[in-house]
Amino acid sequence: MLRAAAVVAALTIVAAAALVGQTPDEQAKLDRLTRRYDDLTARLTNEAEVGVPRVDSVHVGGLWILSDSAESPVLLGAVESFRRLLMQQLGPAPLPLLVGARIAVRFGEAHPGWGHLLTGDTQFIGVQQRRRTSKWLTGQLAQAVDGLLAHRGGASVAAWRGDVHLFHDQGPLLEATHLELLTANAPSADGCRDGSLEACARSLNLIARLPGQSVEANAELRRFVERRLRHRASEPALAPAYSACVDGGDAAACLAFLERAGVQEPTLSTRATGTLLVAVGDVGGPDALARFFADTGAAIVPRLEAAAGMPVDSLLARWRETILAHRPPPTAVPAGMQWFVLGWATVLVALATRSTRWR
Amino acid sequence: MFAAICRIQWKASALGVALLATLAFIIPLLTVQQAGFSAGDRRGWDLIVMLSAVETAGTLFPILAVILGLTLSVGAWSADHQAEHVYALTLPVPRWHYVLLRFGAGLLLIAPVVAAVGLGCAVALGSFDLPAGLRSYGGAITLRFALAAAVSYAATFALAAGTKRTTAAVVGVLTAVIVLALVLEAFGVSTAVAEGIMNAIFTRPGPFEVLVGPWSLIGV
Amino acid sequence: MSYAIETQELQYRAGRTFELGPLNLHVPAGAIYGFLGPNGSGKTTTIRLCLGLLRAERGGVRVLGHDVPSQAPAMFARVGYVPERSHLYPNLTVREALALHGAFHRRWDHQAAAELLGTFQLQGDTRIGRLSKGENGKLLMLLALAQRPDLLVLDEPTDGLDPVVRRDVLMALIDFVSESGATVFISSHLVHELERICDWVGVMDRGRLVAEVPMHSFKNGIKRLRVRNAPAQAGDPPFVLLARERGDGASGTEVWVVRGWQATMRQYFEGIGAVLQDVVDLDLEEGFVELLRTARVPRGS
Repeated sequence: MLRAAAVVAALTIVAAAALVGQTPDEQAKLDRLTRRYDDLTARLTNEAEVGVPRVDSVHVGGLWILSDSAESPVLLGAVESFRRLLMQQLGPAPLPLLVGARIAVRFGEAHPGWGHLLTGDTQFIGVQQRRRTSKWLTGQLAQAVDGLLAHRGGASVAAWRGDVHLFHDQGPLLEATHLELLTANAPSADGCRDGSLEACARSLNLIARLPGQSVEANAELRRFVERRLRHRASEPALAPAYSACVDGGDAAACLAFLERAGVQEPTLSTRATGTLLVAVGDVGGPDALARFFADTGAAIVPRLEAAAGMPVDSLLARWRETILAHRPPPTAVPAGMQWFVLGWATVLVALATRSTRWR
Repeated sequence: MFAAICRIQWKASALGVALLATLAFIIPLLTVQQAGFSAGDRRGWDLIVMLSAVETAGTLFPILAVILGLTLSVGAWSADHQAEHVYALTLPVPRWHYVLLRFGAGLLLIAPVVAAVGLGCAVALGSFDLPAGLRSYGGAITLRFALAAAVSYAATFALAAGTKRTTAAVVGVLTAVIVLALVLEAFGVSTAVAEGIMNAIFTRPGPFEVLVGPWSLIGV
Repeated sequence: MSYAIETQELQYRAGRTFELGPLNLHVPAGAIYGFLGPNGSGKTTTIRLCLGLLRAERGGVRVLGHDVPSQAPAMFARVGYVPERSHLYPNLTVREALALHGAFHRRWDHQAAAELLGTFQLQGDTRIGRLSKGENGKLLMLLALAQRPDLLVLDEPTDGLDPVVRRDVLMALIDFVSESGATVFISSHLVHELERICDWVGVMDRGRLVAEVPMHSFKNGIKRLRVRNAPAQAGDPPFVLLARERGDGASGTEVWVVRGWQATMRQYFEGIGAVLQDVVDLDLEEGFVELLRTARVPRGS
């Protein structure tokens, strides 16, 4: 009997895991998680404090959304939109890297019990104003996931990635990156714009030394050091490297000089980095970002190549094309606008002459 | 007749036009100054931030265009409203002709303000060297401003030319739509209707498409 | 006879209480037509209907041969209008108002305008909004006259003006009419003023035209008779008996108000055994009052 019960329990777990798309290990994690929160809720109830929030949970792709108002139409609407967004951005299967992560959404009054919930891998959203809509909450959930992903993959990924918003409307971000590329006061940005993939790599802070670094790139580097850092040439620790870089044209010396001087060549912002990550997601398929953020300890460029499924050169070329294709709309008057204005002015004046006052 | 109407309309609108023309001239200069383009030392230039400032300042142009339109339509009709339109109705011209005379006179008065925009942009853009990769849009801004002012004037002119009942009905409906949209949004209900109406007005082929979109004096 | 203004079964309603018409007005061309009536009788409304400023519910209007309102612009080229309240733009100066008016009227007479400016002692640089009531009245008349119209429509042009201004305005009007032979349609409740200048009179009361006759007929036609010993039944008199009132009870004298009286009609009283003691001429105002008093019978009775 006991054996049969164990088999049934195991089958139930597997079936449940299949229903939610979780592996047994992940399901077990979730069970422990659920039990923990059930226990917590029970404990809070037993403490007989007034207004203890009842915390329900909603499961979205491995991610738990906890709320004191899980039946709220605002929350349910937001979760549904968010589920679609998550699947679209990160793939249909729940991301292992989101399992165990929680987003706590509080509608009611603050309560000491909430402090217990906001532990570990949790992002918090407070919905205190009535006018908050499902649309707003969906945005907040997306930002919360960005927050959850911020520390995935290790310190080096977090440092490179910075504060990026994966779920924002990419159009304005691509236009802003285009603008950066055109206006950043950096040789790498100029070079990237002009077609050098090495310059693009530098501008995106992919400092790995790519094979075949070009003569032009070296020349740009030398000019940068000479123009911007001349004032440090006389420092004893830096003088030899400066001389070798500027006078000798040694690219390695230039890089060494920069490293010792603690100076980073200006790069594009983390907003631009985010657009590269989105490009990775586009080319690498549903699990691309999961591969990028996997806890493997690899450096950035190998992560990018593994995630995109292509050499980083090709990825950068594709990214550059996308960025250049998203030039911010110029102020120029769109074609035909003057005719529309003329047409509307005519209609409006005709309406004025047809007013009953004048007939 | 047209000259006579222009004279009286100029009299009614002169102060407003003069003030708005002054503002129109100043805005490009202030834009360039506040964004930092007039600073001599370029080493500190953060172009993204500067362009963002230019973009923000650019929103003043459509606002000014709407105010200009409103000012001119008030100038066109205020005297007739005060006199209850009896004088206009007893003139020996067809009534549609009179309306067109009024409209044309106001349209002419847009010109000084448009000229001020153009001059201001020219002076502002001439005060510094544009960095590589950036473009100036003084001419586009001026043309866009002229179009925006014209359509704003036409809309407010038509509203002011109508009877009080018509004006109240139009204003009432617009206000009701906006209030309803705000109330619905407060209760989390979808406001597709209000959004649809706004899209119809502010995107092509709506009348006020010219007011939205980029108004940056300097861009890429 | 040709008419400068004629209406056919003109009807208009405003709200629940005010009803005008059916109105059949005939203003002979070349006449000075006095349009009389108490306040609220519908004079201004009638004028506005004739000029197309109001839209009639029923009926037609022709002014100087033009259908109104379809041919209103052509009509206004020949009609000078002085409204009851100033319709001019208050922010304009007198000179600017003249320039504006002259720009729209082809027959504008600059010289006449300049002369009238002097006659009326108006300052060209004064803003219309700062003119006194009298100055406004004079300016309105100036604009209408300098236009050289074929028809002048004046709605209470001297109302509220002091006697000196009234005199100036009326003199200018008479001068113009005598030179041009234009038709004048002038409404007023100041009956004595119109008595001197009008040759036709129309009387409005409570939205109806109760009389429309040549002035001499109006003035001469209504008499007050003092009659003694008249029988209760008057029989069939040769005149229109408008009213019969008991006078001093002891003497048996009655006061009869009649219209269409002629001297030869004395014989009638002999025939009925009454004695005609006196025939009292009524001036226009008295005749007007008597006409209204007797015309105010309830509708449908």
